[in-house]
Amino acid sequence: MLKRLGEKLFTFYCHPDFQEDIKGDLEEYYLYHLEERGQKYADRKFLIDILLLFRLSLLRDNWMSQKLTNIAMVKNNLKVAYRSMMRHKFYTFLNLSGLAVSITACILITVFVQNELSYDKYHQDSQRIYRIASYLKFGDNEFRFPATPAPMAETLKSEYPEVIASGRSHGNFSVLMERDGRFYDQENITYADQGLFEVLSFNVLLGDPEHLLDEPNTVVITESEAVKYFGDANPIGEIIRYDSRIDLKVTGVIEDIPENSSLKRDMWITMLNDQASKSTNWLSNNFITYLKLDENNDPDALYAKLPTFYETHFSAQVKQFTGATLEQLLASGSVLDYQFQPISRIHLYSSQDYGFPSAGSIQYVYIFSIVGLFILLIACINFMNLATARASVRAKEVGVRKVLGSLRKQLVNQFITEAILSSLLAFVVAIGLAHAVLPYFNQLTDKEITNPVFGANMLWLYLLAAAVVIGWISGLYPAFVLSRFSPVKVLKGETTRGKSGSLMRNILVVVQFVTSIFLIICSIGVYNQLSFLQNKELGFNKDQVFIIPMTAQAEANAEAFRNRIEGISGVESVSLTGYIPAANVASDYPYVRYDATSPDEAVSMQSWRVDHQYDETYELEMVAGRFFDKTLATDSLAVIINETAAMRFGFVDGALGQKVKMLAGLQGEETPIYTIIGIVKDFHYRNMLEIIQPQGLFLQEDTGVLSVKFNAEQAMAVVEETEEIWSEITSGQPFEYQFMSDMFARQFRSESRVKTIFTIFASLAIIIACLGLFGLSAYLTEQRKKEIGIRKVLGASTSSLLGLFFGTFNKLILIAAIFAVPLSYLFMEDWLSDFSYRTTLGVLVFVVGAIGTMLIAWFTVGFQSLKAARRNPIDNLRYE
Amino acid sequence: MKKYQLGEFEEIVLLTVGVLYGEAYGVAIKGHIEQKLSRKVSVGALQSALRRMESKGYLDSNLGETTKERGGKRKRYFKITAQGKKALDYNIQTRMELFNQIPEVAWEFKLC
Repeated sequence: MLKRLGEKLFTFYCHPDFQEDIKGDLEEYYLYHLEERGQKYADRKFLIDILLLFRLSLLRDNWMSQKLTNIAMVKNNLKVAYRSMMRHKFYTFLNLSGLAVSITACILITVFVQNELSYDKYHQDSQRIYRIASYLKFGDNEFRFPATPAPMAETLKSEYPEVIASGRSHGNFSVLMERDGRFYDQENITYADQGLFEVLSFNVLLGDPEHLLDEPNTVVITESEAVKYFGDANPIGEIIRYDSRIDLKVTGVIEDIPENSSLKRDMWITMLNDQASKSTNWLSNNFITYLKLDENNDPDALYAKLPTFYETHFSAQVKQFTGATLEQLLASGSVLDYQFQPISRIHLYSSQDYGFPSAGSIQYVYIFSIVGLFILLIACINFMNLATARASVRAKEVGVRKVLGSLRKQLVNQFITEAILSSLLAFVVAIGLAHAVLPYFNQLTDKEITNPVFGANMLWLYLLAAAVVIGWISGLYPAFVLSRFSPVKVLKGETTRGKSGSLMRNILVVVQFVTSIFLIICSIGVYNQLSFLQNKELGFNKDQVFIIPMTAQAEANAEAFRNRIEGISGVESVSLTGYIPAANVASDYPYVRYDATSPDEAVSMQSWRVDHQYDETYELEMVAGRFFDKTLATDSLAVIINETAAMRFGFVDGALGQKVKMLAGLQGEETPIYTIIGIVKDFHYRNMLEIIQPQGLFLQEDTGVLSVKFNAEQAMAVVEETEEIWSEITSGQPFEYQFMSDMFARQFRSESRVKTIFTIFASLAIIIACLGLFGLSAYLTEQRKKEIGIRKVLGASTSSLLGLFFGTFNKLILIAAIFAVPLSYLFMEDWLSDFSYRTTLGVLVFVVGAIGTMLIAWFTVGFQSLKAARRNPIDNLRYE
Repeated sequence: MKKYQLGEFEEIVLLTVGVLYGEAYGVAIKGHIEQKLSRKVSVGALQSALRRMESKGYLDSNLGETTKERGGKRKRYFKITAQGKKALDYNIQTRMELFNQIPEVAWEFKLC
């Protein structure tokens, strides 16, 4: 058995010339061993010998032995490639630079996309971790957010064994911290459960991972925060003073949260310190809940069990709050739905799957990937076009080679070698370029990517493969065109510009223009939409206001502080309330009309607490009625609603003077009744991407933030004086302030980032396409040199000659525009449909896109053409 | 570059082929080396050395008669070519030259 197998193996690999005698020798050994040591030993020995016979010098002819004979040819091909590159330095430069720039762009895009796709995947068992997303609908009010009621995390874990861990995070705020008499304005603080550290696998550097936050007044900080507060000392057990009120004991230090995390916080205070977390209210959703499931990992099964869960825990409170049972509400179209969102989808898919905003978007990932591919396509086409256009130059060489006995295959190999060599060179340059521009790219994309090519992602390996494949593909077509020439015709000097060659070239040029026009139109569209959002009427004045977040000490003296600031010259108005625009304040409460009969009529209103100066400070515009008046005590029971709210309540004959109350009041609970005294024009109190929801302003005290409206000319003086007053009042706490306009700009950071990146890459694509066009037109004019000379001698003017050149390209651009315009229209419509407030796509966008491309092409071609057309005809004709 | 490429094992095989003049085929060569030099020789190493030297021109070979032994497979007999002889001479000569150049002092072994 073993012997037969061995023989087969040997026959398979051994060179046929050697087989007979070696087999004979083996047979002899076999018989000898059989006699001496028995069958088993002989068999084994036989097989071992055969395995040891697997030697290079005994093998059949294979690719390795062939390569030995071919190496001379490869060497020669490389040499020829090098020479031809050196001889046409200009075209080599055009080719290589285009390719290198486009590959650089592709590398950066790849790295960007890889980074975007890697979010949250570093957690252990990340495929089993979920965040709960909620979709609630109540009458006309819809809510989608990644938040749940406070008791949900713990209850799910205790009632369903498949939930092996659960934890919550609440809030993202900044507070003034104190350590050893030094103050720090600490940002990115959240409340967290011990359970959260069991769900998410942050790397705990110091402290007991099992007991990080299970006692009151404990806090976990990241490594860099630890260094900030404690330097080199061990922070475990040390105290940080929270807002001059609470002493927090550091119980753990975790590694800095990786940049590719959706939950980035620097300080995690135990949930036991958060009063709201003890709430048993199932109807208010404020906690981000994370779950980890057991090994079966079946979120659908768990989801199927939720209706029973709602019945057990929600129905009593629903009944108490609305008067209707959960069943009745669900039957009348209300929705109570909590879903399990895989943690790896949080960053990119939140808006797509659940309709709430996320930092990243899978759409942008797709868009950038497409742009990257386009750029690469354009560069490859350049390469092919220039190579075929240069056919006439290389034709003689091909002819001579053929006469000397070159096979077509060898010629194809030669040209492909040339192409692969160029693309390898371009890749090397591109990798260098990518590293050089990486810092700027990181800045642009707000990422911290290091070592993009040679890092753990092994990108260089793919790049190497891509270089060969791209070189091969773009070399293939020119190689076949060039190697097809008949040597007799070529050497006789017959024209080598075949009709099919120019047709193919024209098609490729059209493809290039289609992509260019598409990209131009899309970038104009994206630009339009984003500047539309940025410049849209906000409904309030964001420009001359700065805000000061209040600390506990400042809040204690809030009135005095406000009065002193009002006294500063240059301060026009001061408003004291935490409910300010652009800060993502959320405070939804359901209200009904005074005369309402059913909870279905409820309108969920953003209920904001403001003071008398709020309208003055933010320059709110009143549509009807008046703002709160200091002299009228009755205003404490008044409300000002926005236009949307007025519409939603459906007051037919004017809302002024009508009354509303909280939904709970419908059940006969004692709730205040508010009289509508004014209607304020809708203003974008959160951000431009969201539709304005109903809003109500109430005259109630809140001391969270002080907003100061100042005279633009005295801005700096006002800030300085405010700082002085602040230090006096707070006895030296650090002074923090922000301009409202900056806060708004920050909300747009991700959008304006996309705008910049898109513009840059789109312009790159166009520049690369122009590089190719430039080279192409140079060759074509060179070829038509004689024709131009003759035309000129016969009296053609420069302008008519230019018309001749432009005519060809115009036709191509026109055809390209016919393809590109509908394509980009469809694409832009699709993209815009996601925005609540969107610009319209005018005809102008498309005309500008097409004409713009044409102008750029004219400019590119014109340079060469003009040179040719203005040349003295003698120079063109004399050489014969 | 060396004039004659001949490794240590190759040299032994070449010498053995010479010794076994007329009877030098795989099994015999292997047996002889193993017997005389008391070292293990694998079939693979031997065969690849033989073919390598054949392609270098140090050895020549021809197939013998078909017999009933060894499953009817013919033996391949090797013999040294003139080139092979030169390579051997060169190897031995250079060794001797080097050996002779060793000064007498080097032979005075001391415990040091």
